[in-house]
Amino acid sequence: MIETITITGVATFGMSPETLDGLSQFNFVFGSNGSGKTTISRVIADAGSFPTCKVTWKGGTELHPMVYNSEFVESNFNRSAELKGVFTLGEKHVDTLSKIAAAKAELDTLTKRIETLTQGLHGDDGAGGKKGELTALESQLKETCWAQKQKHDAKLQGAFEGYRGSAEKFKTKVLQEWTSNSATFATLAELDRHLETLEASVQRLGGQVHFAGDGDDACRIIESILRGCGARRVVKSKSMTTEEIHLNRALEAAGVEVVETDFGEFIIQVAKQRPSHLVAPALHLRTPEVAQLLSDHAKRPLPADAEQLAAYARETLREKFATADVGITGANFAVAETGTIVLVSNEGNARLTVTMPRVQIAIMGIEKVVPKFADLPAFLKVLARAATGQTLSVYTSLVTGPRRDGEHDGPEEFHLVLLDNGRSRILSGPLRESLFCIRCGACLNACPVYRNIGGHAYGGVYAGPIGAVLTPLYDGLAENKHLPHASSLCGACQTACPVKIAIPELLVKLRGALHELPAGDLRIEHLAYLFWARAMRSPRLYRLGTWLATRTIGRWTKKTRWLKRLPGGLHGWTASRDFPAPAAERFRDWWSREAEQ
Amino acid sequence: MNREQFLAQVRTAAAAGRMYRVHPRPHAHGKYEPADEAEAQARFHREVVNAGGAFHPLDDGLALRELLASLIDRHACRSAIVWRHPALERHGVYGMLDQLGVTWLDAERAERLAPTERRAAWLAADLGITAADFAIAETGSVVVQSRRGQERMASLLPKVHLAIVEPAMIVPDLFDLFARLELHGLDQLPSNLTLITGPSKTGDLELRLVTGVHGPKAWHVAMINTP
Repeated sequence: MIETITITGVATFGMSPETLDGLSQFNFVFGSNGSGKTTISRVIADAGSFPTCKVTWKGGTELHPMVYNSEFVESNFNRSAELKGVFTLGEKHVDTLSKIAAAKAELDTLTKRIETLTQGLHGDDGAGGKKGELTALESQLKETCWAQKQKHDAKLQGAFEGYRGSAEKFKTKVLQEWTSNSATFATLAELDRHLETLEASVQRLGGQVHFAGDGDDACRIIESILRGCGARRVVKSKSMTTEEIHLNRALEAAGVEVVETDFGEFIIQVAKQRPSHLVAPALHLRTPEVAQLLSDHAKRPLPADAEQLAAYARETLREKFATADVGITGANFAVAETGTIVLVSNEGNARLTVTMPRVQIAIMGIEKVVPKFADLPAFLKVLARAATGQTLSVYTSLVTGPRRDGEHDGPEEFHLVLLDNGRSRILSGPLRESLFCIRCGACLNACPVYRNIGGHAYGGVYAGPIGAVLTPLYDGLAENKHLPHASSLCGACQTACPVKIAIPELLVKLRGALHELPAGDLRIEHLAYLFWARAMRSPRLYRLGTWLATRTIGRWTKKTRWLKRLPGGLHGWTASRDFPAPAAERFRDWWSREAEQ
Repeated sequence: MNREQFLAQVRTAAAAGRMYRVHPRPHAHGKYEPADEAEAQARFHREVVNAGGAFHPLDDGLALRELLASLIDRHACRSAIVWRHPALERHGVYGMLDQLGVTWLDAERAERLAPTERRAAWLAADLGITAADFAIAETGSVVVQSRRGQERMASLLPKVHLAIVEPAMIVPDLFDLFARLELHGLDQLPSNLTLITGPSKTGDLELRLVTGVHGPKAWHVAMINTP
């Protein structure tokens, strides 16, 4: 409560202090016009602005004064100029008024834009514009399709049965093929949601879902599952994801026997090597080499015959399947809405892995999830055809949870490990397209570089063109900086890719990213190029260099034409491929000799 | 990293990369639409053979008995894992096996054995006989679903697999199979559904085709035209 008000030298008040005292809870101040009532109210409202005046509160407890005067009305009652009949209350709403004005302006612009667009869509006369353009384009497309159909009719017969009679029908069919195959792929934008759905579905079936941020996480999770069920022996079907996280190494360190069951992987494991091809991991080994490796394994001689070597693998691995506690698989796809894991194989080892052991663990990269069950057939068709040219792989298994009551085979326990390991980083950036890879290996078979240097030259888990993109992304750009350059960017990979990943474009982006890295150990390379540039600028130096090379290495390797091993620090390059030797005779020597004759 | 952190990371990344969203264009693979059932059956026949299987069109039970006898003889089969399935009962498979002197094991008989004995018997079987839940004409695939009495092993462990198919089981295309399954209800999906297209194959050794590396070496499909 206010006790006294003292006012000095404000408005009509004089320099000698005027004091209103003895104030109570309710006070009436009255006086003629200009006597200073408003001034008193101003002092009460904002005493701080009047240093010569003083408002004393009872007991010194100052409260928030509220004053209703002409100024209050001015600042709080706002009549809108733009919108008739609307007025707002309160100081805050002055702000709203200016927003209303802005919104009105925006509304006007939008209305104008709609008008322009409508006109653009239908044209001035209602028949032209974009609609008209579309009609024209459609008939153009129809003609183009039809021209192609006429040209290739003999070859199209089977594929377009029943649509070859009319240009309109044919065009519609072409469009339908196009859309039905691209509608299902837009899953990455909502990947987190699909993963949550997948988790719920697997749990509903009685399975368990684990989340692994990186490879170490995943290995730890799998180790703890194995510990939990007292597993001593694990059978695995081919999975690049487990290669990526170096699972075998981790499990063996933990004292578990890990058996690779894919025939090629089994050979690779016996040979203690790394797979060289996504689909056929032992493609780089010859039958006699394999016979030698498996003979050592069997401790008895085995003939260099594919049939008999496969029979040995069958017999050895059957025993492992029958006695393994846990089966570990990857997953080609996973369906969010049903919790189904898809496993594709030609040998049947993936089926055995999910049929015989008591526990199944599936590990998959997060990009392998598709939202709907109905999305699967398009992917399955594409995968088999691109990977091996089959209409379908021999075995396509849809595993939906652990075995049900009353069944005699299949895992009693089912675990799904979801692996990020850098994928979310890729997902957030310009290389996100690489997550569409379905690991079919078509780009490897198409790549002229891969065909010449083989898989091991890539040095990473994933070989070939897509490997040159994936390995730096998963394994670190600095450690794999040679890979984005191991391509002529000819584009054969992109043409072969069934999901049309623009691999050359991604490689160029990666090369760009490499330039952002600190130069570091690129210094030796830099020096070599300096030397090369110097030699190329001086004909005398170049002549001397080529003379030296042909006289020495060129002559020594006249028969083989290839260097099997480079000296010193360069031997790493020749560890998995040969280096072309210089010719035994320089071109200029050959030319001058030929010219004389 | 726990579940929440994991999902949050993916969520942030999915949103952050939205500007780079791409729409890969997969190679188009059309849907096979046969004119009639006869055409679908002919295609199925062709594709089974293309996949490396043996196709046996049969007119009656007598022909089935002959086929069984010749398979048992050719592959020297002594014991069999057999599905419990109405189609196999309709065609009298169980009785035929008894007549042909083959020891056979279905779920019921297996349950009477001690666990180790049972496992040994399954692993030792030379012949697996199943029906099919569906067959796909376009790819020549036989679809087997796991249920009590329909073991996964029957089409997987033995060296020889015989699938008995009736014309009504054929759907034209892979897309049709998935549509049918969806129609049945996705909550009805079995714990394991496998599409079998050929004998177990590998090309891992210098790309040479070898069959039977893990699963059946010989794959027979018998199509019984009259019930």
